[in-house]
Amino acid sequence: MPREYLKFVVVGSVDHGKSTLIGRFLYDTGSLGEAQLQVIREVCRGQGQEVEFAFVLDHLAEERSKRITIDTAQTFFSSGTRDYVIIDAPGHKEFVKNMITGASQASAAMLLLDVHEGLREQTRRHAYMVSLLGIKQLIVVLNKMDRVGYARGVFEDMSRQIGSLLEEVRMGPLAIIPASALTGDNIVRRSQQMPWYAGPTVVEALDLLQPRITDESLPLRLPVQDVYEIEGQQLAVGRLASGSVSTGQKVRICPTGECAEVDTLRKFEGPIAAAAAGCPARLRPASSGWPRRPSNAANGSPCAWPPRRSPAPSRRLPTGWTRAAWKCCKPTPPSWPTPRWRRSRWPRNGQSITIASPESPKWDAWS
Amino acid sequence: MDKLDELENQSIYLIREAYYHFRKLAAMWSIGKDSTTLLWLCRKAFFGRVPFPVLHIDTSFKFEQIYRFRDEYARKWKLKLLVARNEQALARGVNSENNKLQCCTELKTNALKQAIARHGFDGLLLGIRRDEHGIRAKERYFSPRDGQFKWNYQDQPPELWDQYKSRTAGDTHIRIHPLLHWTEKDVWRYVKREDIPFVELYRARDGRRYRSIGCQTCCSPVPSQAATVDDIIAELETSTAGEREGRAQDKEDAYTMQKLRALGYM
Repeated sequence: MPREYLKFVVVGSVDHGKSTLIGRFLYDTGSLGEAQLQVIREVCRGQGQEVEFAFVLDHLAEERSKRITIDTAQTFFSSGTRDYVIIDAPGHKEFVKNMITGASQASAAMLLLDVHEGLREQTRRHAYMVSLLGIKQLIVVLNKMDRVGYARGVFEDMSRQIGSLLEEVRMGPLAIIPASALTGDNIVRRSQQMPWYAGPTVVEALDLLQPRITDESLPLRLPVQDVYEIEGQQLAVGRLASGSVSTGQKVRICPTGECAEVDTLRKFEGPIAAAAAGCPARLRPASSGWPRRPSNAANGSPCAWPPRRSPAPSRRLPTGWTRAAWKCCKPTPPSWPTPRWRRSRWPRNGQSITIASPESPKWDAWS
Repeated sequence: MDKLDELENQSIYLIREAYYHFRKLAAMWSIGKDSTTLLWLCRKAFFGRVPFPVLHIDTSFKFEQIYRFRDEYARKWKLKLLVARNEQALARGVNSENNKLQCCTELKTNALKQAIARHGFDGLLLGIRRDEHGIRAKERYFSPRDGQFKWNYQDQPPELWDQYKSRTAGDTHIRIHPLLHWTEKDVWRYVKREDIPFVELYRARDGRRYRSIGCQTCCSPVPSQAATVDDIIAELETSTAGEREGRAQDKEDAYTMQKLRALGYM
């Protein structure tokens, strides 16, 4: 059964408890190994302090002695139905580049706020960055409720403040959760201290997140990564960013604007009929015979790639090979063809080439 | 999209980016399950042929099964295999008995340095993964090493979406980690799906198996009954023990791995 796969990033100001929250979360869900905990206990004893959950992710010696996160890290967590990737991001102003490195990989964010300290410059900055990076799904965790005596009034006041901040950056939170990463209240275990709160715990809120959906109905965009020549056939390789592509489809090559028709699609094991950014189940080889050898797949005249300066009105695109469509060609044939192979001259010369659907009106903008 | 497809797509994308960016690219093959999976993905990325050399850092202390597997698949997959050994250090009798940090540095890191000096590689593909070790969790997909071969983990380049660091002045080479986002379970599920061959040491024999393989001197097997790939996957579903718990070099003190990696270790 295919498993869902979701990446989320934990952001917020320095010392508001991001790494501690993740450590606590992994501990309470039983995701940490005994040996791993043992090492952390020893390190903490060596530094003369209580067990620090943040050390699960803060692995650099400098991070542990200064007790801050310097660089982003990723850890893995599986629930009953989903595999999560949790991305820890440093909260310190100097490490914003590390924070966006982590956040750019995520499809959801968890924004932490220390209720005792309130909104900080970095809280605003991170909220803005998350919005800027195009992350749409957000969960807010109001941390360190233990420091304010689990007071409902503080929670409501902070909710209002964070609500108006998020409005400024045009984001709407899926949930605002009062919690304490230190004590574990409302992280995995529902808090006994805050009976007035009926919303989800942090682990329950994760179910509200939707995995990233790649929409096939969007226009075709296939950034060309490289061009390889195999048995005299030139193949443009790349990964479909959106839309779908099939043999015979008319496409436009940006930025030159030439029109072309897709001659063959190939994946490693052989030719295929169509490929999509989304669901591979739709894809089946066109012919019942399987697989056609690459040398037989060539039909039509030899093609020039890259397109020359004076483009013909219509040109056959040699082979728009896409990455998204492997699954349909199972089972793997017993022996793979080893084609004659050489690298073609790369046409990019600093400019990027994208194969797009012909109706896309703004292809000029790609140049 | 299925998770394995998504992981595979991302890895192939990275391998092709690396091949596009670097003139002298090589893949590091430790013959373990991860780097063998990496080679499998390379073959897929380039339609059956690996168009760059495959580098094995040989400490001379590897398991016999590893050497046999290496030679068999180098032939079957028509790999251009390069074997790098630090002969001077071996002649001096460096081994893991006294000092593991020194042994790893001499026989792995320095052997790699020599190989890079000899062949002039500017890009190296490695099969490391984030979930193996907390230090590796901090890595980038494209990770530069400076003139002294050092990993400047305190100031790594930003890496947004699918934009990666290519070479700048002052770097000796860039390490590319196409499997960084895979977990141990993902690798085994993929090995099963694709029927990728692997060294027999991973299978349980007499109630013990290796979860991570390297030098015979510094690897110990873990108790296990998992003799098939299905068993291994089932075992990992329930285990919370660390993958590299049998690897001595990780454990000397809490930061040995960080020290090793800062000096250029894999």
